[in-house]
Amino acid sequence: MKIAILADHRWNSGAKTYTTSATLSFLKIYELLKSRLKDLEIKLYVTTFNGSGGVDYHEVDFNELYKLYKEGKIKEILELAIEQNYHDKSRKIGLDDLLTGLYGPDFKFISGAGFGVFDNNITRENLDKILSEKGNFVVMVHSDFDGNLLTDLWNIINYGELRNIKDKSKRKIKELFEKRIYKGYLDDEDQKELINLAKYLFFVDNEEARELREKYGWLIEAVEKELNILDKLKYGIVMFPTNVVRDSNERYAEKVTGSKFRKAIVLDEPMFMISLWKNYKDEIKAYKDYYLNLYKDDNRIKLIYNGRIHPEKGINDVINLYEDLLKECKDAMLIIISPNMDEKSEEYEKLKEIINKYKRGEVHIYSEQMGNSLYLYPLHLIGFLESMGELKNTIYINAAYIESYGLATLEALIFGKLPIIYRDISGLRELKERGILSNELSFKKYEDLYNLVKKVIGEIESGKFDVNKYINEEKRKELIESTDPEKVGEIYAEIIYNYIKENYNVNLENQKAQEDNVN
Amino acid sequence: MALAEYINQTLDGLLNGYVNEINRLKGLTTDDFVKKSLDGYIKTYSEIMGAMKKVSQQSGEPLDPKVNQDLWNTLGNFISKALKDNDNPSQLYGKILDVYNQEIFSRRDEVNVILLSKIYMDAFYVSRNINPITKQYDRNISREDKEEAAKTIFIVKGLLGEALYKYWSSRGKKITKEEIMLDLENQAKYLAPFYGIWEGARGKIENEIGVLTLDNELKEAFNYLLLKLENSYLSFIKGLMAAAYNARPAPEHIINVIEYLSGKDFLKNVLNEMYNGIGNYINQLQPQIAQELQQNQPAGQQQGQQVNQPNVQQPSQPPAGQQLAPQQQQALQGGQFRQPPGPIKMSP
Repeated sequence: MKIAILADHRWNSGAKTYTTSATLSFLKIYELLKSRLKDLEIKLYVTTFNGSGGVDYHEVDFNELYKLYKEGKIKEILELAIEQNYHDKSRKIGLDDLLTGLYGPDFKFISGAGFGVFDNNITRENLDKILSEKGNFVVMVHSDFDGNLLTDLWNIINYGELRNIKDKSKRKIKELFEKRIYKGYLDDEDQKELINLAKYLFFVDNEEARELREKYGWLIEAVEKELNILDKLKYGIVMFPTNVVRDSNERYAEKVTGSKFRKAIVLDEPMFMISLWKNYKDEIKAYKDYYLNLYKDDNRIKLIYNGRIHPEKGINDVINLYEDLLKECKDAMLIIISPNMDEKSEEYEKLKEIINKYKRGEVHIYSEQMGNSLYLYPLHLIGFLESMGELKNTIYINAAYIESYGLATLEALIFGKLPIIYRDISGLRELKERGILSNELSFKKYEDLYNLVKKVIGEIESGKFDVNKYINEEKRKELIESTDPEKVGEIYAEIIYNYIKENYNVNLENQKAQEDNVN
Repeated sequence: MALAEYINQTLDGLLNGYVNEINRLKGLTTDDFVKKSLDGYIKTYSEIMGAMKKVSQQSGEPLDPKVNQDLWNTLGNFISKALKDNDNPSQLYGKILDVYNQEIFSRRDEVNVILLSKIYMDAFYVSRNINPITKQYDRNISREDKEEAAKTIFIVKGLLGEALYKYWSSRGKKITKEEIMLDLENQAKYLAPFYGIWEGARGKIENEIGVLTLDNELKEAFNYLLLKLENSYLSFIKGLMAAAYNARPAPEHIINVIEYLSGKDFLKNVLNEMYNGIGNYINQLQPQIAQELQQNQPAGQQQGQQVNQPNVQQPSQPPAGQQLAPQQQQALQGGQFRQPPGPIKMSP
């Protein structure tokens, strides 16, 4: 029995974070299924960008990874994945090898729906064969296709150099973009409008559409490939991290392809941090102590922002909040954890200005861009969050306007046990509905954010703060369980096993029993 | 000499010489209007160079691995890969400056146009969601990067237009500034050869390494280090230009300063300073990493054998002022734990 896994490591984004975590789940799958499926073989393929602009394909030595896994070397496996895309344990292969590997197996697991997009080597015909009517595949969909298209169009009209684009088209894109931010998704009417707009800009023969096609032909090509993939998903199993993402993609797929997904599953995504947390307690303790030493003598209230520096992530609201607190003589500290904060950004300047204006406050920055990332070696982040929780004067804020899953927020909850004040939108609302995030700490408008922060600060200052009021420990434990790569691996294993059992006309249990008798 | 010190000295020298010369000219005229005009020039150039000086002072040392963990890891990775392949890291690293000197800085008349073209094209790609290295569409280019690219394009376009116009007209070619500006916004064909020279130099460096080693990991580690150096250099030069432009949005004057500086080997020397800074760290780190490699070798295996050697830990980041408990510190020094990063602080 052959299973192929395709991990897309081309972008340093959520898709890579997911496949990194999922690798641990696949290792678990192998452990669980090797005794149940005869001659089980798992092949792991990884795609990366090469230095000259093309895409490289690699076959990872899965047996070597499994050896490390059995030796408990989780950190080594993750370093291989995060820092070098498995370079030390893989060999480069050609496109033909990759396609053969993906056409042939009994089952395949594809880590992201964008796998063939922005890869000129892989054709539509190749995609059709990989996602064939046989339906022997799982594809993980992390975000909403319609949102991706809309964001691309929005970027083009804002930062591109279209001379002929009409105000009407710009206005439509802008309105849709704002609606999506406000609602957290596009409803049916919005989706129809987006589709019509895209058809117009991609196909109509007039000046503005021609210019867009000339300058942004790659977008049309990418959207066409995405739609083709979306159409083929109906044959197999599609997995989503939240109901919001599923619902949005289901409605969009039906509108653009006329077909529905036959089997859609909503499942928490695995978090590799959980495996690290469980396996490296001593080392994490060392880092926790380090950060406790750093912060324990500072009694100021600490606010944590973790995310990209982008309006979509709510950074402007957090800066306004910080200014309002300093204005009121609250000498708070703001801790920013970000991949892209740097000295040249407007936000950095703004914070500097605020601190100098009120002559109080302190901002601490941990940023990949500035060379002191907490994520480069994730055990540092876990130690940091644990220390913040122990201080009992720290509040975590997620003011994002769009959030499909909220991984960083979940990390703050799981490792830091921090009170989380969050905007009541899309993925976060779903976490609230599941009881994972506190009902009491959600907000919609800035004023509510401000009042909630003031309320929690008041509790901390008066000694009445009890984090348990805001954290449902049972739900937190459930979340740890449901995002543990090992547990996710068990569910994936069942999905694969059931598919094989139903479709290959093999009496698996019997086969196993016979083998046991022979042995 | 430290980078900021070198820049200060060079710009001070240029400004003093310029002010003396203008004062000499002022002494030759009795016309108040001419005198005031000359004072105006002094003000303009003082502002431009003052802003450039300020930026160099604020930037500190852009490539200091003591505060830049990523650079620290990059250097550690490169050195250990080179040693494992029995190569001399300093010798490999030396190829960078050799090629830049041969291919770019030897072209004294073109060097500023080459640099401006490279900065312009990189920003041009980013503004279109294209990764300037891979030339592939990149959905994850952030809004900030695109805004930054738009600003760079805006500033550099004016400077590049001036530079290209001066370059071609000094060679007797019949071309107007308007034609050049129009081309910059569309096909960018006038700058393409200059951009190509920079990219060609980069390719040549990679080839030079390719004939010295077969080890792909080493090549990748080297390329990553090269990219770090190149990015820091270009970003520093870009910062100088942006500061000058913000102080005085007058491309025709700024390009004069750049041309003058370029004639004094300023652009070359800035790269040299950055290059030497990293070179010194390579020399410092090499014995430490060689020792670690030796210690990590399985019994019976001699140093120099490169087959199946254990993966070497990156050197831990230098202390950031905050230490761990003694036993934890021991674990850290023993290579078991990695020194956690400290925050970058902003206070009144």
